[in-house]
Amino acid sequence: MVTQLLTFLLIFMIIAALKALMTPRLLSAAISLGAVGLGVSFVFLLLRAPDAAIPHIVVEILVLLLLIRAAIRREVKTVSGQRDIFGAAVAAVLLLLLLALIVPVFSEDLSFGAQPVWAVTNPQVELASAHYLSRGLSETGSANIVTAVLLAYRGYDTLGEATVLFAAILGALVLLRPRARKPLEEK
Amino acid sequence: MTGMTVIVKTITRWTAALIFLYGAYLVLYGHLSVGGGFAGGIILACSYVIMILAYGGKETIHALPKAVAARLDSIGALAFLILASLGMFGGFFFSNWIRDIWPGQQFRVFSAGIIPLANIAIALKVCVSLFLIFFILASLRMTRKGDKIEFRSEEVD
Amino acid sequence: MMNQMHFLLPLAIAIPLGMGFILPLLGRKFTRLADVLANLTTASLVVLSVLLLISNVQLGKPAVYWFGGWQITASGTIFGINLVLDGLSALMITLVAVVSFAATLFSSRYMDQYTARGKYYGLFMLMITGMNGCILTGDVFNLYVFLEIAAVSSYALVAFGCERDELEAAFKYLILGCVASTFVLLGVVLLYAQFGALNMAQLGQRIASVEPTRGSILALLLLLSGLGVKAALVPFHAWLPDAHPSAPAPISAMLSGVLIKAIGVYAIIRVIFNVYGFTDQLGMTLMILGTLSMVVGVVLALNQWDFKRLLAYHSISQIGYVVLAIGLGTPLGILAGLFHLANHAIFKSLLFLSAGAVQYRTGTRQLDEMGGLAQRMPSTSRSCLVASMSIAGVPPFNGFFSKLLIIIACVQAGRWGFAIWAVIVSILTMASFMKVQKYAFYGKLKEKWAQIREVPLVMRYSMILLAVLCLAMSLLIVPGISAAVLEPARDALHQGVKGYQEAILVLLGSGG
Repeated sequence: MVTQLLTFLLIFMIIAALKALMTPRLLSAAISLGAVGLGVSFVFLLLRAPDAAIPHIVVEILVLLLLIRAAIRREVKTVSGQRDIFGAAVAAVLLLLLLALIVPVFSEDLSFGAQPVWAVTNPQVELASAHYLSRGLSETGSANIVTAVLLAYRGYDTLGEATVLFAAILGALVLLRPRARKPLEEK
Repeated sequence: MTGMTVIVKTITRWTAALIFLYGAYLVLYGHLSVGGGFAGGIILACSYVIMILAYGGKETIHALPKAVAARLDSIGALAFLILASLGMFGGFFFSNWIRDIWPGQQFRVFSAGIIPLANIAIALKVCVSLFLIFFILASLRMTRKGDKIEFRSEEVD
Repeated sequence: MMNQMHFLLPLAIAIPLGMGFILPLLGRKFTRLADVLANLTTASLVVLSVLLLISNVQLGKPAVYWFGGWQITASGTIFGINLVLDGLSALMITLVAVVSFAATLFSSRYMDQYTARGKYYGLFMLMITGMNGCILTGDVFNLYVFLEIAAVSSYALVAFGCERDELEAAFKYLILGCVASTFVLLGVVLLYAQFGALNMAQLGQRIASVEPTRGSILALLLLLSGLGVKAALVPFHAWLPDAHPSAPAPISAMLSGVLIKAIGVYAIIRVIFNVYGFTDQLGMTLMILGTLSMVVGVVLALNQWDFKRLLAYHSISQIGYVVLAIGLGTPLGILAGLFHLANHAIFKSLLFLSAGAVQYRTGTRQLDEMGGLAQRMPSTSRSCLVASMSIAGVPPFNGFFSKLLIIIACVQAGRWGFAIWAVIVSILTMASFMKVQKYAFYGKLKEKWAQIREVPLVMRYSMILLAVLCLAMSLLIVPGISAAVLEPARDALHQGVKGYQEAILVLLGSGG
């Protein structure tokens, strides 16, 4: 059942993404992107990862709001100009090549939601994930294992992720500052 | 941005408060149930964003000026880093030194040492970041000079 | 005492990260304070990295630091993140520190043309954090996170001037960089799905324990192409000639000098030598990519009249040398490649800084509009001459020795074809820089430049510091000094997967 639902969501997301790419109208592109995001949130929910689903859906809402505000109040409503046929063809060929490489690996070698392949052949070794589940609470005191991994075991990664966000915001602030250059003062 | 009708404003005031509470709950109970700094912080930001939408930029900027928001952004990130660095006292960067001193009781809010504190720091950082990004992009003005289109933020800092 | 030095390891990340959070708080009134703080930070990083370099030599084996004390368990489960300091990371971190110190020194006057100094330094520090994090980490996912920090801050820094072409260049860089990062992430995901480990040593162990699977080869392919974009190897180089010249000069120096090496070349060779293990096919791939970059870069550079753009193409070409030499896989080849990598960091940043100095006074980047500037800007001209001779491979400058070593290594390995290409590219590089010198600094002084002055003192100091290093780095060829700096770095790679694992998994037995 879950697999069918996931496949359905996947197809839905691909169609929405294509729609977002193809439509010349900015507003419909924004809404289609929102649909893709909604699909991703549902996928997280179906895979029983509410810790990922909640932020994702809220971020999607925020981004959609932003994009709509940017798209409907402005003078530019549609994207005009010629499509680059050659570029699109090259991109399509590269994408197909990539898919041809990735799809067999994911569909045959790695089964969805299973243990890592290596762990199946070496069952005597304890994986990090098993350790998190069995000893996460006692070692970190956090009942939510996701938080235990995020802030205790891999807290350093989380610091890095917060920094990525910080850098992005700082970058946006810098790029949208009203005046970027000033004349040199001679001393 | 002048804001919407009084009906929208009133409803927004109530829902924004509820959303804010939910966000705060997710942050504070992040180590006990689903949620955490990132999820909670984004929801907190959401409560500000609907205020911007309903009341318009001017009112909201009065409540949380951009310069202050940019400072809080740095302070949130810095707080997380300091929490991590203080772990040096426990022997390692990121060691849970508070829990070593005072373990608290499992499944209670006051437990798990630096984890809830780190959640709060992250929430502050994420909330202010998203608020800022929304605010900057929403106040972006596009001016057309002949063929050239220029994007500039409205207010000067 | 020196043996305890690895407890300083997280400081290499925490110091710039903390300053990256603090400096944006400084507004317009505190511009000079921001300058001072940024310079102090980079200076302290130089001191720290030299300490780490010395402690690494004394310790004689890689130092490992586990975050949060989540050490490897007795049963071999790794569930934390570690930092690893071996010869290679010590060398890289010193390079980053030195180049960023010169760049901040230069920035303190050069950035007077731009607003928002505090935010500029904030992004700068975050970029250093990202690079140091990439260099020191022993965990593939962590590598991705810090790669993103360095990349995201560099996107904004490229467009710092907010002019139309700068924004366009940054956008191109952003798109290509995002695709590349996605590839890297996908590669990491594939590795985790197969081997259930993120620690590089453990991954290496598990990859070696089974026959190469389709999945692990695909992961390698994704990692190589993703990191190849970051390193700007041909055919992934399209963003570099736009992005590097558009940035403010100190940032161009950082990008060309260390960023493409720290998050590109370093990550590639770390993955190939210490995770997957060097094989002849991989070596051949590296050599072909390297030679392609070398040739294509220099050919495209020949026809350039834009000073900084010309330098950017030469970056592609010089990175080609590094990758070619390391791809040989012989001890001498790796040594020569790393030596050239270090040299390139110094002379390319110096070249970008001197191009920036010229632009600071004349306001132009076009070589044919300059001319005779040596009369008006003697210090800039001399340091640029030193750097040009280094990159062109004139003895006794550092570039000569590393190029010579690369060619000897090629011949020694029996790769005559590659050696010949290296010689040809070297000659073309020299021709290109003779053009630069002739048109920019020598020849007749143009009327309109009669009144310009030399750049301010701190900018001159920063360039002279690098120019002195250009000469001093030649000493690395001396066996004793090489044994302290380059050979530990070479050994870190040449000992391959086994050596790297032993460093981390030895701690297992002793309980850390």
